[in-house]
Amino acid sequence: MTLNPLIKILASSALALTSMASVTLVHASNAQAASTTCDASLLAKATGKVNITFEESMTGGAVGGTGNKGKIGALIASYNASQNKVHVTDVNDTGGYADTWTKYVSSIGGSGSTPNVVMLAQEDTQAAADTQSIVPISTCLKADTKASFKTFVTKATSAYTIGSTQVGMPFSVSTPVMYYNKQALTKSGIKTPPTTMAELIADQKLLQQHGYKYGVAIKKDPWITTTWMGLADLPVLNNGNGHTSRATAATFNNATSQAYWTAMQTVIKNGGLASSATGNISTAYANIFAISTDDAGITFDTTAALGSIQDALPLFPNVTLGVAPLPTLTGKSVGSTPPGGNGLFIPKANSNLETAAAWDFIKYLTSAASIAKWSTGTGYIPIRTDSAAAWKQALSATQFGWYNVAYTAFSTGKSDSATAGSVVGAYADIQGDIVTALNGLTQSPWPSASSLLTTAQNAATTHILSYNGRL
Amino acid sequence: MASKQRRLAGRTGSYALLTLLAFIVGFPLYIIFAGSLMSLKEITSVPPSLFPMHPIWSTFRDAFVGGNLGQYLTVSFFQSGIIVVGQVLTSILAAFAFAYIQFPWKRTIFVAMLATSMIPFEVTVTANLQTVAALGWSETMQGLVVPFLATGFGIFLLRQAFLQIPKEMHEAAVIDGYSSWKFMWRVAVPLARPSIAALAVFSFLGAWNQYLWPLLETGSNKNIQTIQMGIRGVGGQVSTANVSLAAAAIAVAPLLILLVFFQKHLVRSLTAGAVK
Repeated sequence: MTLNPLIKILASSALALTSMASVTLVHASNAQAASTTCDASLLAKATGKVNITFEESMTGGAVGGTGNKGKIGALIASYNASQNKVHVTDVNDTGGYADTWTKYVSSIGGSGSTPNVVMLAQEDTQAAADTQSIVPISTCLKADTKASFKTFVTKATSAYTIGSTQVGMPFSVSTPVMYYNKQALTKSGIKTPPTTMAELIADQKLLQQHGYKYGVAIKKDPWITTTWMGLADLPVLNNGNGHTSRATAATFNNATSQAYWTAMQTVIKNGGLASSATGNISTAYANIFAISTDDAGITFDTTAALGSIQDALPLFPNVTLGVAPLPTLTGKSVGSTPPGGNGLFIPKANSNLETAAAWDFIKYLTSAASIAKWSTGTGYIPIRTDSAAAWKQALSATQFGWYNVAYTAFSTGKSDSATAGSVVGAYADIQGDIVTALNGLTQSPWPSASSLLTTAQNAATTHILSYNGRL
Repeated sequence: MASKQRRLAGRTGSYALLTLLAFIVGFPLYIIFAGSLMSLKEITSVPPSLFPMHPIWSTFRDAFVGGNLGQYLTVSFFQSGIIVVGQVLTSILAAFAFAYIQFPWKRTIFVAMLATSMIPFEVTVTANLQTVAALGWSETMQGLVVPFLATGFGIFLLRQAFLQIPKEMHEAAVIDGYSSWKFMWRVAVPLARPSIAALAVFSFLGAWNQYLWPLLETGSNKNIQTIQMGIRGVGGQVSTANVSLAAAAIAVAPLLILLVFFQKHLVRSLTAGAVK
């Protein structure tokens, strides 16, 4: 067959294009410069404006108020207006922390767009350190004699510390609290919200007797369990919760966790709602919706949802919101509430000058004034004691009443590795292990809390060892 | 009589099963549309409401205007359109070569081509990102579309369609003096139209629903963010659950319209060659 030369060329071009598009091509080169220092003085010597990017995961803004996304945008704008050395461009990931982490990991693989400052969830601290792509904040602190953590809540900074290295900078802190409907409690003859798990079980019965179908809605969120561990001053991992050296085993199966889980199982067995901690709005907030529909009077959730709940409150005149600390086994706590939330990290893959600019921006974001602004209305609580006064002033008395529950729980009490939250590379896998156990706990045939916690702890240890073995 | 009854029972059973499957597939879509018209109170009611008692149409306006979905839709139409045209063109050319042209290593190259369809995108994403960055295409429209301008699946689909054309037609065309080029466009492509239409629909579906690649590739360039990224930014709060659902409904609407118009081609293409 005679081949038309044109078709030969086209066919080969198509094949070549297909190959280019479909077959893996690896380019080892990465043109980005790697930052070796965090020298703030470089910025003073810079001749032009330094342009940097800040990748963050705050949501909201498009509809229903500016949300946290609008508030972080306002802080960036105010930094840009406050000086003329640095210009920050906001890169917002609408898909939350998971998207930011995925983007960050791919960018350090050489995609060419590594941000200068990246917001990561606290639980990503160890994994971020393991990428060896981060300029530790302690390097910046060492080089910048004016910077200090003196007025920061110790737990906030410890949450991002591995060994003696301050890996990330704390920024947003939220904690789980107990939400309740004051009207439901009053109607059921409950004078004060429960402070112990035994009271919670008793109050559930009263609520059910007064028409609140579930009485109590429990969210199957591992964070609540790990918070209870912090309140009991018990680490969930060995080696100082992963802070003194890399964790090699999970330690969350103990008499205390078993007692909490047994109490949770009793609530569900008695007809309580066990809702998922993940999924879309209607599944992830099913516990809160149960309050709005008068199916439950009490639930636990993060303070980060408070802004959103506040927006929805006018639609539900049947709800008068109350916020209280999580109930404990005895009504007292020997430890304190560990922090959740997010921190700020400086990627290495940029120039020294950009790193200096990134540090300058981080100092602004975490200044007392910025933290006070940030904590007003976002649902996050101040990480600095010198922000608290301005924060209190900006809130209404009702709002302060809600938020102060979390702030008090976070800023007071014991401060050690058990209350600083855990740092571990296999965090997501461990969460999955606990969720699997929680799913088993809240449904028939009602296995015992100790058997489920034993299985979950063994699975978590296997995941930790597997992760460590891959490093 | 008994066999007639058996046939009737069999047919009734088949339709019952198909109805059940259609319900399973269609129910989530129904919930998206119904939920987008409900008040927050209806969405959160237990047991959940299935019908909006007082439809709220303003949720669509809030999602479209507030969420700036017009811009995201424009980008997605543009991105998906280029990918569809690119995939159809490259697939026609490559598939024709594999079906009608003799060249060295043809079989090996074809197998290698097929193998590319079996590698999950997540496996090659980092390498593709590095390639795009090395070409200086990070955060650009070409970075968003070029890696998808060709597809092993499309080449395979069209090669099979071209091979269905009787050999005699090709021989007759050659005797009549048709060049390969002329035969491809005048005879092979028109005869393979159902498969080409099916490929176009599959390409569009794939391109429209992309999330990971646009997320990684668009970086800080908000001008090339697609609809799937855009709807993540709408609502996201308890108080705007219905607006989020309206945004999802807007994002899925073009696909539903496309499927309604092209469903005949899709079915014909999928069943082509099933009965010889």
